[in-house]
Amino acid sequence: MSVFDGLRFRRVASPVHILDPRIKFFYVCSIFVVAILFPEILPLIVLFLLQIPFVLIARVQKEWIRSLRGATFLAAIIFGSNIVFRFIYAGYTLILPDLEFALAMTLRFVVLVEAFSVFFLTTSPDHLGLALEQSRVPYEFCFAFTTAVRFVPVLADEAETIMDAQKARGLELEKGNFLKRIRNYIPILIPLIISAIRRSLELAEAMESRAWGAIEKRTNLYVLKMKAGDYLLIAISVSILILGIYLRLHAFIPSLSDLLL
Amino acid sequence: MRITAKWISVSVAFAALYAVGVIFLAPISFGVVQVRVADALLPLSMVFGLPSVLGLSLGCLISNSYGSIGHLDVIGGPIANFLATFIAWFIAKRGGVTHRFIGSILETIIVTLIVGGYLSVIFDTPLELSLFGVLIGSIIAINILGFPLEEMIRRNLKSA
Repeated sequence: MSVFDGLRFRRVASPVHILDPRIKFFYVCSIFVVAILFPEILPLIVLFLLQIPFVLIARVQKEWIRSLRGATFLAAIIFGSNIVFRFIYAGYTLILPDLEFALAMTLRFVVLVEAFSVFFLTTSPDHLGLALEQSRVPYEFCFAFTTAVRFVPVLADEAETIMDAQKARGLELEKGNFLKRIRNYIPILIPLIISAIRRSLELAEAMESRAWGAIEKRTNLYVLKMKAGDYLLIAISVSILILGIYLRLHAFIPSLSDLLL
Repeated sequence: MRITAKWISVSVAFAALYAVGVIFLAPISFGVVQVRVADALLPLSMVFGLPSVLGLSLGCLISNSYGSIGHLDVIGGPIANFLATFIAWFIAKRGGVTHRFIGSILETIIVTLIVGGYLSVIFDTPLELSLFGVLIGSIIAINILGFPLEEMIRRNLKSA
């Protein structure tokens, strides 16, 4: 069940984990904007390296590397398709700048994935729900979000049980032609849907027995407050943003192949 | 419309189902064509109505943000799911089997256009290629797998 380790949030007491999710989201957005601004490889390398201290402080290296490994397949597709199209457009010749461009596009993708995974690795679903709630998102929506996130591992266990049970009854998932393989999923999906609906009705009863929605105005035990670290992160992201835009407008960015040759 | 506990809990169930479907029932892949088995849940919005519309969009948000390929996917996927399921529900609520079938075809078209569109932006591939890849996968998941599933569950719910 290693796939769900990402969803089973691991609580780590680190300076990054206690930051306000809204600020972390702003940081991710600014990284995103700057990464989109530059098609050159050098600034993208800088952006990539910029995330590493963040990851180290948060002590999520293991999970982070795993998420990067998950992205390698897509990164390889991006690299391949870029190379192929450049190759065809350039009249079946490949020069070094083309290679560098393809590499830069791949790196841009990796930077986006990495920034995003840092956000999700260091933000607990509860914290995220709290941040949503305090950004004036309707409470019903936040509740549905956090509950659904908690529901996922439970339902995944159930899916595994159902799969084992059907396999024990002779279902062979990886057998048959195209259509047969598709249809093999029906004996798994139907019990899964039925049990999820049944569980949801139990959940509804539990919620009603605790008077869910009886009080219009809710209060929270924890309130998100901006601390020194949050202001520091705002400063960092704003300066990344300003520096990125300034360099884009006023500076010439050398390509790596020019520097090396 | 009043949002009751049952309303919310059904949407929670669908969100979790979709996310589990995406992450656990890993896509069956046949070369270029990837079939997202979880998309077979989309036609179910025609049975379960608005709670499942919210749930399937939320589920897409959750699954896309954990197996993320960037902001566009996290924002675009839920929007695609929301529009597709909402329109299908709207069409199917005043008709019989034909309406439901048209609804499921519309879902395929909407998902193909939106997801194929942003995937070509993310991967820098030509639009036609990514549209084609998503179209095949969606037809299999939504029309071939999802629609019979929807009819089956509708019949069973009636008899239950």
